[in-house]
Order: sequence, then C-alpha cells, then structure tokens
Amino acid sequence: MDMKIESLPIIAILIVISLMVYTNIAIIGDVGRVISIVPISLIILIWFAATMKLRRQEDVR
Amino acid sequence: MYAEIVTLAVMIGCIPCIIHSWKKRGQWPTIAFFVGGFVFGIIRENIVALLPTMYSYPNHPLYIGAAPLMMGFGWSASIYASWCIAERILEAYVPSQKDGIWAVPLVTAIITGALSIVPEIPAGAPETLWWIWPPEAITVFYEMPAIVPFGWAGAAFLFILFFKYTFEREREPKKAAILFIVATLIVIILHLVYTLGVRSLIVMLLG
Repeated sequence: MDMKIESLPIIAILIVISLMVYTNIAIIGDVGRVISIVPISLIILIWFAATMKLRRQEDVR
Repeated sequence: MYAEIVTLAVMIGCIPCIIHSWKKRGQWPTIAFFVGGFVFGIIRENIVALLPTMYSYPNHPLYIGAAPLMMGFGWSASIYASWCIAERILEAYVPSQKDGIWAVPLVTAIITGALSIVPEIPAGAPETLWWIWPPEAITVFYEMPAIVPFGWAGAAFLFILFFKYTFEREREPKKAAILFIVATLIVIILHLVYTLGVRSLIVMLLG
C-alpha cells in the first residue's frame, strides 16, 4: 500500500497529540503535562521501525 | 471549557482513519467499524451517564442524549489507529501472529491504553473539565484515575476481538457488518462489567 495511505492512522494520532499538547501548554499552562505523550510517542517510533523493516524486506524481494 | 478542542481533535482525527480503512479494508468493514464505533460510543456514554459513580461530560458543544457527539467518533478513531499500529508491529516482529485472533486485540489494547493518557491529562484539568470523574476516583497522574488506561484497553480488546471474529466467521461482508453493529451492544455490556470489575480491583489494591 502507498506510504501516504499507510501513514493515515499515525497522522490521526499526531493531530490528537498536537491539539492536546497545545491545550496543556497554552490553556492549562503546565508543560509537565506534556509527559503524557511519551508512551504513545515511543509506540509510534516502534511503528516507524516496523515499517522500515518491512520496506527493507520488500526491497530485498 | 474549550471542549471544542477535543471535539475537533477527535472528529478531524477520525477522517484519516476512515479513509485508511476504506482503502485498505473496503466498504463494509469500514461501515461496520465506524458505525459500530458510533453506536458503541453514544449508547455506552448514555448508560454511563445513568451511573452516578462514573464520570460526566459537562460543557460540550453537541450531545446525543447525555453523550457528547464526539464520543461517537472518539472510540472508533482511537481503537482503529491503535489497531493499525498493532497490525504493523506484529507483521514486522511476530509475523506468525499478524492475524492472530487474540494477539491482535491484545496488542491493540496495550497501544490504546498508551493513547488514552494523551487526551485524559488535559481533560480533567480545572481549566478544561471536558469530563469529570467522581471525587472517590483514585488518581495516579494529575487528575487521571488509575482505571483510565485499563478502561480504554479493555474497550479496544473487546471491540477488535468481536470485529475480527465476526468478519472471519461470516464471509458475506454486508451480513458481517450488520452482525458486528448489533454485536457492539454486547461489547458495551461486557465493557461496562469489565470496567466496574477493574475499578473494584483498583480500589482493593490502591484504595
């Protein structure tokens, strides 16, 4: 599948993360609350590594 | 206050998920997932509103009954995005389980639990109050109660398990879609029972 299409669920999560970070900083005024994005950000990194691994496997074939 | 922000985040976030599902999984699975998610979100939150020991939703711009409209999109979008990540991770690192009937819902549940923390932290702040937990809720991180990641994870596990089971058992996609949408009513009941059970366990352990 096209990489752009494949990334759509990640884009959805990034939209939510951006708006929540904005709320934490600009409305609540507490930068410490931004820690809440760490677990899902790590999972997105794992998704990225998994995508790269599968791409490499496809290229080898 | 500012509930438009979370409404906007959820509704805009739902659009890429629907497009992805339509392109990858096709028409009927997409209809089943997102209509099922809408039914799950709206009916579940209306039942929650009747339970005094659960949370409430003040100050939202649009409601269906007692449920904010965004809940019709929020559950399906977050579970769908987590499901796609789970499939990719399993495909890359545990290929034998990439379609596993238990493995996929389990990994989706863990990812949804991690995702739950992102909106939950601003949601309970005094400046926003998008949803309010009762004072007896045991909080673990700012205003977030301990039940939250487990509640979201449980919903994702049940939703994906039922979805996969329905579409694997019923080969006619239209029939499977209708069956799944009806089955979300069972998912709601199971999830509420699960949530109340986990909450009692948390009170026992941390209370």
